[in-house]
Amino acid sequence: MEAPPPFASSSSSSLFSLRNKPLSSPTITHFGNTKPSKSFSVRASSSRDSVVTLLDYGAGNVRSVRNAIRFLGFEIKDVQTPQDILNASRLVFPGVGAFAAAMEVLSKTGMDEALCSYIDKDRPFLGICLGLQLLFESSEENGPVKGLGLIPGTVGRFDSSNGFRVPHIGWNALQITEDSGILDDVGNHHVYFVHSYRAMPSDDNNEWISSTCDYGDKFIASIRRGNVHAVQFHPEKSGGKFYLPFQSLVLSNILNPKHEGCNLC
Amino acid sequence: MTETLTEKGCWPLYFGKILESKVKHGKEAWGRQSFKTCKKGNSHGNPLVIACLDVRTNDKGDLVVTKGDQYDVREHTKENEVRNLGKPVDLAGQYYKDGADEVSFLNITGFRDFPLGDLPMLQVLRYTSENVFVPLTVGGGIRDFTDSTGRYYSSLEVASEYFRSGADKISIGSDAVYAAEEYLKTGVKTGKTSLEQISRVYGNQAVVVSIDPRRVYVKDPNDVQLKTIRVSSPGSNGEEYAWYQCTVNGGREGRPIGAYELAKAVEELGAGEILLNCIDCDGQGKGFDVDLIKLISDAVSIPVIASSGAGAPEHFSEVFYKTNASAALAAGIFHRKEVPIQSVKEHLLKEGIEVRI
Repeated sequence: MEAPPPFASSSSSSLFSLRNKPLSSPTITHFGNTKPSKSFSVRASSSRDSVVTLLDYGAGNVRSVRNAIRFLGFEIKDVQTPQDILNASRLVFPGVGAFAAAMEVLSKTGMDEALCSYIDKDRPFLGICLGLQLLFESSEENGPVKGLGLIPGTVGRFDSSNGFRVPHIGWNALQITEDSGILDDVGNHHVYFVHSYRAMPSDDNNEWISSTCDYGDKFIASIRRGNVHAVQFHPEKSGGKFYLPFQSLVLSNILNPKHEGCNLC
Repeated sequence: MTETLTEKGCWPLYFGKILESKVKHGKEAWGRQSFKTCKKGNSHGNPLVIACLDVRTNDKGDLVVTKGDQYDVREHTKENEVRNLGKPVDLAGQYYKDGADEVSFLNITGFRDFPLGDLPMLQVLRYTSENVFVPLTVGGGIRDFTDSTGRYYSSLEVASEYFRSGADKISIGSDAVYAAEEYLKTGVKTGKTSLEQISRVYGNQAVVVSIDPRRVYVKDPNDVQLKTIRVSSPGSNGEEYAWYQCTVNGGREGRPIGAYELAKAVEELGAGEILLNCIDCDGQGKGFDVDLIKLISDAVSIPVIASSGAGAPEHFSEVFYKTNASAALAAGIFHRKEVPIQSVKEHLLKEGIEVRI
């Protein structure tokens, strides 16, 4: 067996326990990843500047996001209760899976209200992929299904009738429409998308949009309001030769918020 | 320029050159707009170059990367050992650094050894995903099974374990063939096939169907009920037509269904992508089977990944020009360092095909 790669993060050891996790009955709707050990929780709260709170409702590969966050030198605290969201100093929400299933889990656990409250307070937030879509009013994915309703608009399916293949899988450039901070270093670099549904720009949501991308239609690639950011692409998968600095920036700018007057920072 | 590209330190220069093109084309040079100005204009997206690792245990039980010749992975020596082309995690890391847009693992012992017991493959995924920040696909052995202790695992549970270990997508081979056959026979989507279950839970984009077809020449298209095409190079008896027979179990068993029929059926069943191999071209290095790839990429509206036969950078531009493939995959030429990934991308850019650099 190979030795662990040389630049693996040395922190958050408890999360690495996943590696040795026995193959117990795999449930796919569990909340959070596994139970973080007590020692981890204590350590995390004692060094909150290096802690990222992660909302993982267990419906897909969040390991890459974990790995990317750890790669940047942060520890991860998994959300177990809605209070964990409210207590977070920076929250990453890498939505994966289907819209309806995600909303169901969020509302069943009361995370939906906590999320809305957290975002309303302009606390540092990064949503990824479905984590962006869920902020909108509704989605057509197996729906209509109601979303968190923070951003005006409906998430719809790409139109494949004009020859564009759906899902949209691949690397595309962004058209950055607003200085977003987190996109500073993206420039003309391509970022990785994988999705069948997307939110479209409109007069109602225009003020939220920080970048768009063209794939048949012009769709919303990222949003920003204050400290709240969300991206349709996958920064954790947009690695590549030039993307480590970009990636650090995307995550680090979010993770190291420089907002004034915040007593959390 | 060309010569210096692969030398250390020259990438930024090259990158600068790309940036200049932005100025030339204006604001949207890197979006769809610029793509219309490219010679290649029919794939509606930037083509991907995917590096694939065929992983299996060798006779000593170590997980190694190997590569077959028409699916035969053993050396033709007295020992008849499995070809060893290095360790999977290291090689995946190298491909990532070299600019692969995705990395794909094919566990080619999957159909014999049940995957949940196949801990080394899960370990490979875990370690790889720590440092490789491009999408990872894993295939091989994703199906329902009962282990030696009598415990039943659904294919969904198997896939879940792969996803939890760091896979972004899983690919299904044999199981998808059986599912498509059943669906075409009954016209009913049971919702119980691995393909349907996994795509329902993880989304279509997480499920790739891997097709392993073999060319079957026919004199007359009416000789078979299946979709035939006129092929560019006739068969040994002068046959001008062929259909592409799907196989299962690593190409060992042919099934009564063609790649065309399979592709359309699995798209309906929820596949998000098709990985299109061709046994005749595998390991030959003579180029992709353009006839087959054109047939399939025109038949479905999900992305098609061209595979089998890449031997030179020109084969990549050829497949992107002549077909609607969204991606092209190679294993052997990257493993053996015959053609570096950078050279492929550099060639594509030179040909006016926009790729990520």
